[in-house]
Amino acid sequence: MTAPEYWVDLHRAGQRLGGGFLLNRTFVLTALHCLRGLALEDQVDIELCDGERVEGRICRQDEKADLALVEISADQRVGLPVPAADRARDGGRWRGPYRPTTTDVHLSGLVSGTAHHLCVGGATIEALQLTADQHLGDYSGYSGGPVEGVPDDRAGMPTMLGILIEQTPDRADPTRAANVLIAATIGEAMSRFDQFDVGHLIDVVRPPRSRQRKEPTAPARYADAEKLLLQFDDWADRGLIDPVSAAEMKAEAVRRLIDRELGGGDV
Amino acid sequence: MTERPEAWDTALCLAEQARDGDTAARDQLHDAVQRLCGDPELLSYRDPGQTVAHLTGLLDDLGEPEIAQSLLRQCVSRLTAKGTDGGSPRAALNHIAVALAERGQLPAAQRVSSTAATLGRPSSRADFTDLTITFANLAAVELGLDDPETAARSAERAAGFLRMSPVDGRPEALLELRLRVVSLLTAAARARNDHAKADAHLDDLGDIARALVAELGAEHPKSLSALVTLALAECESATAAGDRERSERAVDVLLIAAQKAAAFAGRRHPLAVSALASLAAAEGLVAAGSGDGERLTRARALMAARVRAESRPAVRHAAVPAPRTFSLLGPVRARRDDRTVALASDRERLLLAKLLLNAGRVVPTDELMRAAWGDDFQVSPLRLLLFHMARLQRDLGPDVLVNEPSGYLIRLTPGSLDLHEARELVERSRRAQGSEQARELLNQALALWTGDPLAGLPGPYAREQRALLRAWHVDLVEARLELDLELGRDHDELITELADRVAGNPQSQRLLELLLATLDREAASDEAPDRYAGARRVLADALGVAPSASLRDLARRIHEEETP
Repeated sequence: MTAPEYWVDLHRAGQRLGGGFLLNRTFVLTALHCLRGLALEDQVDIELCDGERVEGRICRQDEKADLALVEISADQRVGLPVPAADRARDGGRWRGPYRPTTTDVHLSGLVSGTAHHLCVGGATIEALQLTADQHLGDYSGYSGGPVEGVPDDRAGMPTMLGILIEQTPDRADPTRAANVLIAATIGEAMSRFDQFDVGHLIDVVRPPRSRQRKEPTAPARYADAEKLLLQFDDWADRGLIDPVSAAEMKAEAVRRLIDRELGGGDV
Repeated sequence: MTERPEAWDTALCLAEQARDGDTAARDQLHDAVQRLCGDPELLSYRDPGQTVAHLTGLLDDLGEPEIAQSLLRQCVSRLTAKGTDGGSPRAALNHIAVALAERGQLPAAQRVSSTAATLGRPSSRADFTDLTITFANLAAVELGLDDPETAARSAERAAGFLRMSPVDGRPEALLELRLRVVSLLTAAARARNDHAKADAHLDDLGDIARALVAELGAEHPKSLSALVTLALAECESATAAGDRERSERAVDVLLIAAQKAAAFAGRRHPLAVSALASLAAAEGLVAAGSGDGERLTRARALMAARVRAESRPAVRHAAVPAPRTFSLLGPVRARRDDRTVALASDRERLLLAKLLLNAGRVVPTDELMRAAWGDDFQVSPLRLLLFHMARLQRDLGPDVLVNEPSGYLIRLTPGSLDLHEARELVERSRRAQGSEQARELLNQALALWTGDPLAGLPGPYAREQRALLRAWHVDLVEARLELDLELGRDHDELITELADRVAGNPQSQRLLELLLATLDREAASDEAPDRYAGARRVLADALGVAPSASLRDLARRIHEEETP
């Protein structure tokens, strides 16, 4: 059985940005610094490992942990298989299926351990310390790529353990990189985005009854206002605005509605 | 006594050592379980059900289903007769029923749960919780047995007892039980094509899942488990209602849930295994609905991954491919590396039989379902099929049982299936043309029969194939007896065997013809007219047919020789 290929290259206006990988049919996980200053909602081109290109938009950024999430356009969801996630085993072998160009080597090595790591951006995350067999000096082009666990037996399938985000500087010469890499665990990366929050996912599968009403039951003159209120919930569900902002905007909309009813302005 | 008898610890310890590859422990295990079954204090401690389920699971892993079965029988019989020491026999039976259901023994699980349901009136509020679990188990098994009407009634009774269960104590435990009962109500409604009711139950499921998250937090494994239950139920209902968009959304969520469970708990954790199984089931349902062969292959691969994850890493097969042999000319059996492969249920035996009878050919998924479940299932058994096939693949090896886009293929090495070996011997016998060697080869072929073909397997497919194989067996016996007669086998012996076979198979005119011909040659033809008259009565009574022309000719010739 062939191991699934699920890594991607991200591009913008014809320029390659960096690597990433599919977490499922909808989301690509990457290191934020690979996106080179692009903002939320910016569009990127996603080149899949089979050469196909799909469009995506940056839907979440976590500056402190140097992680970002790219959502693939709804009409272009991909069907590539994704390996199962797993927790890394100390002392186990790892490999990186992603490489910046076809002339670069594939990284591999040993998992030294799993520990809390203080990121450059300030977040403390659960991270894998990885030693690399390859002494490249500069591993930066590999950022955003997946870290896979190597199965013990030949019949086993690789598992997805983490995402490469940093390299450790050489202790003797901090201007140089040691062959020790840091990867955020998959669990850590998933916990940083509310798209993967269990409460949110329950609402995705089965929206609360209050939100299932298709037609407003309020008098016709409130129908538009009610649609707007529901729209705020929808935006919050899709992660376009955070729930607190949604609540504030809803309160503001209702306040304006009351003003209008009492002779004030429009909603 | 409330301590677990030592015999249990001994058996559990040996089973775990055997699972880790200790052959000496394995040799002692059988005797240890036998001693355990004979121990008068077998169940004289609180809540023995979990231990029973644990040990039977280990025995299954070790490929010892007969020992596990014997242990379960003994425990059920003791529990119903004596109860436990201080614990609830109903709770223990509930655990055993779950253990049986997980091993695919649904009718046995149903019997145990029915016994638990009739153990007497509830005497405490905690009894209502046990009764809720009993009826939930019953509903699950009845759904598995394609009986949604009864399942709906059992699920309703579970819901009724749940309302009387104590609300104090751990609220999450009650919420988990509610989640299970409502998911069964949903499944039963869906199986009865009552989509409106299924949708209403799904809303309840959503509310219960939200309540669990509120109680335990979003990162708690039980919250994640509730999400998996909800998403799978949603996918099943949406697929049944033909709502592709909802189904795909639920599959997306299940994939995230499966990744999340494995990322947090490790891919071998029961939560991760369960989430992966649910994802595989959902992918399979959507793929079957859309006719997407590639996706179905992916679903099978997922289910195989689930079974691999479920296997303990310590259980490893030898690096050299182990020889595998299969039997159809008797009970359906598979052996690997000189050990019997545990086939958990008649369904698995039927699936294996179907694949073996079509070895070397891809058997489409729908043909496999028809062979194992017949044509009368109300709910597609695809999910169960994927589960059984993944188990078989784990036990036989992916090099032997192969996933193909349109179905499954079993690859056999020459001589590994008794039926193929018998055919080969018969062909060589035919080529040897009436010689002593031809008779010997036929005898070797017949010796491969170890009982009734596909012995004990239920259902129309098994009946049909059994009838064909029985008929072939009779043909071979007749051919060998003909050779016996031609090659001059001792006539006394031959007459004795023929007489026995005619008695056992009085409708076979060919056997009777051979018997009469042998009697004729032995100058014992004074018996022949009586035999002929008896056979004619049997043929008329049993089949309503007259003797064949060749038999009538032979009888006439014998009669003419006797009356010159």
